[in-house]
Amino acid sequence: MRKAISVLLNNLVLIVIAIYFLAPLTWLVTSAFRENPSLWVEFKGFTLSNFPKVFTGDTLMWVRNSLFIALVTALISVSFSFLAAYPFARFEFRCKTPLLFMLVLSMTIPLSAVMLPTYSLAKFLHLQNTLIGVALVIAARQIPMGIWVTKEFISSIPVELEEAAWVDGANWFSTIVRIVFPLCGPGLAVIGLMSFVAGWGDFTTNLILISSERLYPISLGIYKASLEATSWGYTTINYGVLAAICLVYLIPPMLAFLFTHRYLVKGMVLGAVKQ
Amino acid sequence: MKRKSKGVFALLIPALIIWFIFMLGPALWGIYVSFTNEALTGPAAAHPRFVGLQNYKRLFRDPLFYGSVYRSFIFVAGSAIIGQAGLGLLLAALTSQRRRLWPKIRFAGRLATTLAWLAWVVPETVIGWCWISFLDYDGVLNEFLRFLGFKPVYWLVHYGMLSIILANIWWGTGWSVMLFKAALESIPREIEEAAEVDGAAGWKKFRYITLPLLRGPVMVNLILITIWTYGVFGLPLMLTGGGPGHRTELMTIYAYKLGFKYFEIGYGTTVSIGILLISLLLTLGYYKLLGRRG
Repeated sequence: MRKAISVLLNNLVLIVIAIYFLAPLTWLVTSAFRENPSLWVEFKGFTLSNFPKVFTGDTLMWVRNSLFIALVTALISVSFSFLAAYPFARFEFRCKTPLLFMLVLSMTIPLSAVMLPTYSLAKFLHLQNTLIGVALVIAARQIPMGIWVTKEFISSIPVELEEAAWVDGANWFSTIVRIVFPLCGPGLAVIGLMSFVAGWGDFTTNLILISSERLYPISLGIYKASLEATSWGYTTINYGVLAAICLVYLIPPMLAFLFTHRYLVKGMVLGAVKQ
Repeated sequence: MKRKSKGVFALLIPALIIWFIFMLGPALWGIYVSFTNEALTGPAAAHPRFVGLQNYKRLFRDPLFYGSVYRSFIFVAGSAIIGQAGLGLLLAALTSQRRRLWPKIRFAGRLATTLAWLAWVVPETVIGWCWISFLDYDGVLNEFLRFLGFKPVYWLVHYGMLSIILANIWWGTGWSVMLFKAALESIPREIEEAAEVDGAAGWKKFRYITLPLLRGPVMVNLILITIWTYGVFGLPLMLTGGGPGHRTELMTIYAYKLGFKYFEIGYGTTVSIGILLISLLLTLGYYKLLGRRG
C-alpha cells in the first residue's frame, strides 16, 4: 500500500515536471501546422503549407545567412584548434601551462559582458556588419574548448605511429596531415558540430554586429518579429511561417546533440564531477 | 622526445591570433573604451575623446547601475541556484536507475529528462518565442488559469522578473540534470548497499548518504551555472527588454541599452567592465574551490 502511494506520488511529480517542459512548446508546434494562426492556441485548420514558405523570400535569406555563419565558424574553429592542439599535445615548451590556463580562464568571459567593446573593436577592424566578422567572433570563443578537446584526443594516439613515419623519411607536417589528422576524425567531428551549433544558434553577436536586413540570420529575423509582436498594435507577421521557421531552426542543434551528447557527458560532465 | 622542429610551433599562431583578437581583445579593448566618451553616432563615434575617470565616477553614483546589480543577483539566485540546480537535482535523483521504484516510474522519468535535455539545446530566440506565446494574455498558461476559474494575468508586465526566471530555468535545467545524473552514477554502489543494510532507505538514505557524497559536483555545478546565468542576455531581452520601466533590467541588458539605445558606448562599456569584474571574481572562486579539493 505504502509502495503504491509512493509510485503514484513519484509519477505525479515527474508528470508535472514534464508538463512544465512541454507546455511552452504547444503554441510553436501547433501553429507551425495551421493556416494563419494567432498568438492563441487552437487545433484546427491543419496544413503543411507553412514549411515550403520558409524557403522563399526573406526567410530563405535568413536561413542562408545562418548557414554561412555556422559553416565558417565550424571551419575556422576546427582547423585552427586542430593545428594548435598538436604542439600542445606533443611538446613541452616554456609558456605551455600559462597559455593553457589563460585559454581555460577566457572561456568564462560571458559574451554579454564584452558586447559593447566587441562592437567597438569590430568597427575599428572594419568587420562590423559583415557575416565574416560574426563568424570570427563566435569561432574565437570556440577555440579554447576546441584546443582542449583535440589536445586530449591527440595525446591518446600512440606516438609510435608518428615515429614510424619519421623513420620512413616523412617530415613533421606530412605526418600531421597524413597520420594524426585522420585519427582525430571523431574528436574533430564533435568540435565541428559544437561550433556549427554555436554559429547557427548565435543571437548576441549578430545583434551587436549586424545592422543591414539582408545580412539577418534566423535568430535576428525572429527576434525582430518578436519586437513587432510584443508591441501594441497592428502586426504583419505570418505566425504560421514564423513557427515553422522556429521548428526548422531547432533541427540542427537537436541532431548535433544526439551525436555529441555522449562526448559532452563524458568530457565536460565527468570532468566537472571528478574534479 | 623525438625529432623536434621549431616550425611546429607555427601551428599555434592562427588559433592564438584569432583567440587573442576576438576573445581576449574585447575585454582589453573595453578597458580603453571605458576611459573615453565613444558614442554610437555623431562626432564622438568617429573620434572618441579620452575622458579620464569620468565614466567610473558616474558609475558609482548611478542608481540604475546599483539597481541592475541587485536585479542580476535576484535573477541568478532564483534561476540558477533555486531553479536549475534545485529542479535538476530533484529530477536526477527521482530518475536514478538504482532506485527500486525505477521500473514503475520509467515512462514518466524518461519523458521528463528527455524534455529537459531537449529544452537545453533549443536556440535562445526560439525559447523567447515559446515563452512569449506561453505567457501571452491569450496564451496557454492563461487558458489554463481560466479553465481553473482564475483571472488571466499579464505575466510579462506584472510578473516580469518571475517570467524571465521561469523561462531561464526551463532553458538551463537540462545541463544540471545531465551533470547530476553522471555524478549519481559515479557513487560506488557498495556505499549505498551498506547504508541499506544498516536500515537507511528513501529520503533518509538520500539526505545522509547520497547528498554528502554529491557535495563536490553540486558545488562545481552551482558555480558554473552561476557564471552562465549571470551572463544570460538574449532571452530576457526578448521577453521583457528590461521593462516594464527598469523592473527586469539585468546588468547585461542595462549595458546593452546604454550602448545601443542611448548611444553611450563609452559609459555602457564601463558598466560592462563591472560585469566582467564580477564574473572574474566568480571564476576565481571556482578555481580556488577546485584547487582546494584537487
